[in-house]
Amino acid sequence: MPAVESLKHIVNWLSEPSRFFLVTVLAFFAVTLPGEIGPPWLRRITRPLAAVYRPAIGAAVFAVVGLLFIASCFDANFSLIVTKPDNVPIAGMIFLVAFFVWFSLEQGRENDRRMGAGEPIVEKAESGDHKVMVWPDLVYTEFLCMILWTIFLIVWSIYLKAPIEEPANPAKTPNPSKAPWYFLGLQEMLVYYDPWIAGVLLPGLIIVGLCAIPFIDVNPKGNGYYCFKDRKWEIIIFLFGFVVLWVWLIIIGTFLRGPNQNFFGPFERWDAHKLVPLINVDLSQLIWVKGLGVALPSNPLVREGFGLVLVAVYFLVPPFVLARKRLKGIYEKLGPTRYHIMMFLLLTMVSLPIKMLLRWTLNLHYLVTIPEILFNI
Amino acid sequence: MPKTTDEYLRRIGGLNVLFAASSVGLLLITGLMVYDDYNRSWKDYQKRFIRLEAEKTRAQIKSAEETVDQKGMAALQEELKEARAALDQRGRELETARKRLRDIETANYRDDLSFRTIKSTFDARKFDYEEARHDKASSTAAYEKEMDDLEKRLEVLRVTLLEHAKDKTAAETSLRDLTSQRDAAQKKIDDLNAGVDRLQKKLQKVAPRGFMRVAIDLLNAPVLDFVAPTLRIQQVVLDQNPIDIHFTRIPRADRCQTCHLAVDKAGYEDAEEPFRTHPHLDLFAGGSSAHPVDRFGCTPCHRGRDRAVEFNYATHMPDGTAQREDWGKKYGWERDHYWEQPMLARSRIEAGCLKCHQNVVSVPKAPRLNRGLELLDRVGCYSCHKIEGWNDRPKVGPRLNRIIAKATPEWMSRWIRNPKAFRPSTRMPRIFGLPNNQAPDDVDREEAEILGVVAYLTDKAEALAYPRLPGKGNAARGEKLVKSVGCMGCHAIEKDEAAPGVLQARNRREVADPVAWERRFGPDLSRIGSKAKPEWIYQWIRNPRAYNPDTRMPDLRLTPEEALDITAYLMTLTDDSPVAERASAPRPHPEARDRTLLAYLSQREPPDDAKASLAKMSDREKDVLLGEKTIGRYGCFGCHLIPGFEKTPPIGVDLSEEGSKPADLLLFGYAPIEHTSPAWFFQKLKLPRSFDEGHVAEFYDRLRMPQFEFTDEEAGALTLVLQGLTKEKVPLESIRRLSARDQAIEAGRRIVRDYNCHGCHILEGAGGAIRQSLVRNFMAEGRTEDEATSMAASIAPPIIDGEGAKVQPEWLFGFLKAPSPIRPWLAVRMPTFHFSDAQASTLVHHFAARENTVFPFQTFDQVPPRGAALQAAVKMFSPDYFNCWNCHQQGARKPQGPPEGWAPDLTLAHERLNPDWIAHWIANPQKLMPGTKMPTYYDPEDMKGSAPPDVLGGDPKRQIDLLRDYVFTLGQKRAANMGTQP
Repeated sequence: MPAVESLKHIVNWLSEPSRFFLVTVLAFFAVTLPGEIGPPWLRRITRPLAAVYRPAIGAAVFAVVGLLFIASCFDANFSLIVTKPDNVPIAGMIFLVAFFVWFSLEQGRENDRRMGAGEPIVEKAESGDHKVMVWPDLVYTEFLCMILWTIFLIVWSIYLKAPIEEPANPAKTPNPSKAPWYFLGLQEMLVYYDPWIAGVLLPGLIIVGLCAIPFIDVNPKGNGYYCFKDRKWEIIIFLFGFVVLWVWLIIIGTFLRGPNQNFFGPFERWDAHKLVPLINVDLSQLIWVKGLGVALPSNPLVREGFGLVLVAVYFLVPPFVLARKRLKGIYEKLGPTRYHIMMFLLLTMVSLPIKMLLRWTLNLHYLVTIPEILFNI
Repeated sequence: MPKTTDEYLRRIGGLNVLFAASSVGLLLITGLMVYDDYNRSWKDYQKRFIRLEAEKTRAQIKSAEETVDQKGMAALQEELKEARAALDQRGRELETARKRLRDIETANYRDDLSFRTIKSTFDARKFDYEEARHDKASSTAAYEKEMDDLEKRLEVLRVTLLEHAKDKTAAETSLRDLTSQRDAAQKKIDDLNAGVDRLQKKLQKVAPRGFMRVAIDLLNAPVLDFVAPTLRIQQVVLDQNPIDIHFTRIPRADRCQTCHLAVDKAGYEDAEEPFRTHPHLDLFAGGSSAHPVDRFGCTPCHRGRDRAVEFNYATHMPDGTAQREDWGKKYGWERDHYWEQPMLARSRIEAGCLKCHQNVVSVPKAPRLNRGLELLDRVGCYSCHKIEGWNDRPKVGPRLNRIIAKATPEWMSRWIRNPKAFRPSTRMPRIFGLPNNQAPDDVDREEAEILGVVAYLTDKAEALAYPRLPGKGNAARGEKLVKSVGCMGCHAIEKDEAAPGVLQARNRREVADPVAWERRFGPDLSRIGSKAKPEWIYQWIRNPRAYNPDTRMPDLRLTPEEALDITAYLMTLTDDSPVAERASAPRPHPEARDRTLLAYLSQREPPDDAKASLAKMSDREKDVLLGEKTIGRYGCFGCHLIPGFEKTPPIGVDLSEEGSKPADLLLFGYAPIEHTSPAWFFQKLKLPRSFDEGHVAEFYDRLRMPQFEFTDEEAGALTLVLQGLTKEKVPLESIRRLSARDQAIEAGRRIVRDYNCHGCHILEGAGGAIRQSLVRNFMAEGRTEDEATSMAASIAPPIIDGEGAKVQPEWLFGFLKAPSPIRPWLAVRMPTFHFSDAQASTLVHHFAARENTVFPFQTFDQVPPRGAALQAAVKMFSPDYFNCWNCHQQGARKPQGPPEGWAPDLTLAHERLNPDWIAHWIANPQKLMPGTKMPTYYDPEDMKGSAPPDVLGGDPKRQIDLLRDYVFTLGQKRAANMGTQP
């Protein structure tokens, strides 16, 4: 069917990482903040998207996506990747993450509406004035879940055997060589960053940053119930980091990275012989050689001066400027220590998509590269 | 206290029901888990095998029962009945005897127990006593006393026990006397039934009944089967055949016999797989074979995953599409990509031999592999590809450093364009005009390249001017010579030997080759007159080494007249193919040539510089340069010695470990074949350039392997060799190690193959190809095929099996170095190969080793007969007896009979033959050389009866020894004084 084939081509075309990332980011903001950000014409376009938070429409969207997914399984290449025993849980994860994110946002919006109308919030309406008992309401339910989940896991392990592959060969790694699924986000970062940043610094900062959230977040609202309006930016920032910069990268790493770590569309055959042009340049070469037309200075500090200044400016200037202008209120609320820690973490997080964009647009390899001391940014 | 339900958020009743249901579900699922773990296909196979074995045993019991002599059995039963009746009559006596024996045994048991108890106490006290005495303790005396008491009691008991033993023997004797008649009858019946009983016991073991059956079912039950199941994985652990898991060698654990239960047991030859006996139990798997399963397992030869006990996981490989489909239905077969060395399909199993059987010319009982090795030698794969083990092999093609003395440029260009068009059976592959060079530009370029190669070769070749022929030869005489002196052992004149239709069909691989393989060793001479110049032919056949010092073409010691005749004949063998079918001479394509040269030169320098340097060259220089580039690209120097390329390394990929290369390292391109390495090898051999199809590449980046026109059979055999060239390192314990004798034999076999001895001689059951041509000669004279075959046998070069026992090593060495005629009346000649001393020694050693005789020096006792013995010998030589001189030449004296029946000069025997062999030969010539003309004087069945009765008392042994001694004196000048005195 030519129509189906051209549809597949469009999907493959869209799956090219820069396009896919752009679509994902736009969709993320359009769906989490329908009609709330951007110029007025964009708000007009995105406003109707708020309808997805109506359960019936949300369910319909889910059903359509699920049906498309099932239909896609009739494509040999798609089903080959999706039904690999170690990829099945990731396919499940797409729907689970989407559902729970949707559910929390929907509940938050519902509570916002109720609070606005002076009605009791959902959590309150559900239990009334009663206290909910640990036994049996919590423990019994948990116990039943445990049994049912155990049954499910056993059945899964019986019918989807562990994917045992060839004996490990240090001289010939499998192609593609992939990290365990939960590290695929990290592996994806390795494409854009030097290993010590992507493998050591950023994972460390993720953990530190997650630990720091309770200490940075001084907003007392939203404890014990769903809400959106009261914690809008907290929720948006967290979801951006989690859904876009973590889950999305895992999905990319699982389904779209094929042999030789090349990108393949979901309906594309994983051809180990596929070639893509990959010539990357460092910022120093870009400026000195291409821009100024002179040879690279031999002193590494001079050579990398532009990069070092750029990085310093990125991390140092915006927090202070914003503290006086747009984020003045937040700065005052958090105090300088909390504010600067938060800004550093935020800028570090945002640096990932920035680096990705630089790679896709300028083929930029490193902003700063001093191979003499194995230092690259 | 639980509260009432309406105080809970959830309905407890509903939760209880869900709890009950999910608990039942968990139980069922756990059961399913246990079953899934328990349910293994190999258990089903073992159960099936038990049924098969039981069935087989029952059938054996039935047939054993049928063979039991029923009449005899009835008589024996009757006898037993009578004996029993007689015994019954003496019932009381029997009862008394039995009671007596029982009483003695009881008393014996009681006293023996006391004895052993006291003995152990005594031993303990002895230890205490020794310790106490050593410590000089006060208790020493007490212990000593106790020991004395015990010793006395022991002595009493010892005597009592001896008494009991005596009584018991007496009681047993009297009881046996009573029952002897019955026991004898019973024993006869048992003996008659022994076979059946043994089988019954086996059956009970294989398929137990009653309690044992229940017990075994319990042992094999799920969960309980961890204790001591009878269904279990059968494995052999092979320390000496380790498996290399990427830098780590671990012992193989071959579990194949978990399902292939009868592989090392005879008797299951017709059983259904996986229960079939190994088809070559004498060679493999069997306990007494060369490859017993407990030492070699299965996967060292068959490959596949050693530890697997599941059909797919073991990486079984189907042999062809039919089996693949069948397996797909039966076992859900699919290829397991995760094991680099999948099992060899049945027809490819011989590839497994090569990793252990190295440094041999051929591997025993592996005909297809040997065919591949033979082809590899013949077409010279090692010329372009490095292959470990074939490193120092000579180049397969003729040297081209003097080619202008031999052939004309016109012929050379025709030949290079398509060698098989001129000579269909040539080994030279086709390099030009193949599918990856078919665009119009490519066609022009190749024309220019062919001309370039010819220009290069003629430019660089050493100019060698031959003098004019010394006269004019007689072509008819020459033809006779060519067809009789021995040329036809290595060459054929195919147009004379097969109808054109047959040859064409052969070229299309539709009929079997009418020309023997050995006779393709040298080129087909059909069109030699259109190729070589007469002066060259004359010089070449007179002394091949003058033109090419490396040639394996021997010197037939032709006289100038003979050489002239042969030259004249060969020059009549011209190209007879229709002009339209001939490969035309290439036309010059200066534009394509310049374009190609520019492409080459621009790789290293800017195009403008390249153009400038090109502009400076003359046409001839350009041609020569293009030739050099082309020769360098296609690696012609791999097979041919080409001036300017003497040191250039060959261009092919190293094949030493090709069989271990995983398929994903091979570029399949768009070739419509299965993505496995054997399929790739086969395709590469059949259509080497086909992997270029669909790819965009400059001409210098395209595939270069030439096309050999292998048949499917040939490509399949070579694929086997490639599959066998693995990186596996087999420990010395497991490898086939050659003894010194084996090495001597193998070294000789290598020379036999390199010099094509099989072209003339029959050796190790093969060869003698020249007979094909001799038969043809006789048939041309109007003989029937049978007549011609037998006549050819009498004039053909000899069968040389057993040469080591027949001749003296020194003589053989001298003969190989400089052959002298043994049968001068024969037209066919042993050529002079100009063997080096090392080669000649190797050959002599080969023959000596094969016959287990001494190498290199032997002495021979000589006992010249005298007086009466001498007279007896002469008498036996006379026409009245064996009439030896009727056929045998005696020095200058020719035999009396017709030349077809002539036999070697006996005056040479003393320096040529081994006297022991002479004796064996006289006793039974047909045994040593089947079909020989030498009469059999002594009937091997009745030596004594067939010996002449009036010589030496008719004793054949003495007669033969005398003849031997006499033959040894012939031709010796001072025969009587020579040799050791008796």
